[in-house]
Amino acid sequence: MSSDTPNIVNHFGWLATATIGFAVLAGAILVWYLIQRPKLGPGVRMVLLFGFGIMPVASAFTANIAGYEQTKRRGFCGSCHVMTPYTNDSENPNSKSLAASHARNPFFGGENCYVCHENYGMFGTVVTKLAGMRHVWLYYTEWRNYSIKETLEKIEIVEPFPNGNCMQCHSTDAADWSQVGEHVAALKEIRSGQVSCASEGCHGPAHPFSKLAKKRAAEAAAAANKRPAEKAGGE
Amino acid sequence: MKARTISRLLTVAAVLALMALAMMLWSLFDPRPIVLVAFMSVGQGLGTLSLLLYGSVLLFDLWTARALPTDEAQAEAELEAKGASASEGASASEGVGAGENKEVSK
Repeated sequence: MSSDTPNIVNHFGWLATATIGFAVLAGAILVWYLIQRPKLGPGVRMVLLFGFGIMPVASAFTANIAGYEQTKRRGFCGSCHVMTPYTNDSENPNSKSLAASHARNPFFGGENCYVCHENYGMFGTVVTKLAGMRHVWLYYTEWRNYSIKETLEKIEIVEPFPNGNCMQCHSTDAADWSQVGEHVAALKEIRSGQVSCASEGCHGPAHPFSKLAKKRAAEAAAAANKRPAEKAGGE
Repeated sequence: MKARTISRLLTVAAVLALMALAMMLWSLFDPRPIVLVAFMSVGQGLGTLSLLLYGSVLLFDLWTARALPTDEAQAEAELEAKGASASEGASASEGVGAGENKEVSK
């Protein structure tokens, strides 16, 4: 866990306070029951209903919302060390990457990882959270022993970044957008996702090291192709 | 289910609920992915189990309250039984007295 992982109480004051309050009340009732062992009359039953049911359910409800909100924070993404290069870049005020420039926008702010990577659509939040579970699984089974160097070489986004996520804000119908010649020329491809907004030469890569693995593989392949040609030339 | 079993069930339910609350609070103060996912899931599972245990105790309690008389109901029933026997005795004695009177009038 990185040292700058935000404390939930600081970020979601009333939710966390409510969760703690409900939990403390429930705990007090339960401890009272365990110590006093009162006879199970109607009054005690009602008090225990608060201790076993109403207060813990209320506490779990608020804790779920607070937990969900917490998973949207950049600090939460960066709490796995493999993500620290990405979060550090986002937090760098001098970085000119797509991710960093969005992080400086108050609409994205401390939730810029989630706002950009959240799938657009009716079930976007659910799909995103399921993908997040996959990340947790992969982290604890595989990635946790990676060095940062290995991380940048081996870990890549599972599928190309969908343009729909950009289009949530950058509408392709907007007048400003249509004034750019490249946009108009590639409108169909952009809308269908054949051309990525975040591709190199357009607005990407989103992170300075996003395409590092592919770039290195391409360089290695080019070098491998070059060697036989040089050998043939030498002979 | 005996009273002792009910007491044990409630103790287990209370301990489970306390564990669940502790886990949920822990995940609030230490929001790492594994802690948040595991402790929220396990904690809420334990909390649900404890509520189910308490619910089963309550249901059993209600069921036995219908099937068996409670202490108060039992006391009332005894009082009623005593009262009924006393009034029966009184009416019987009245009946005897009336007969005697009839015999006297004859």
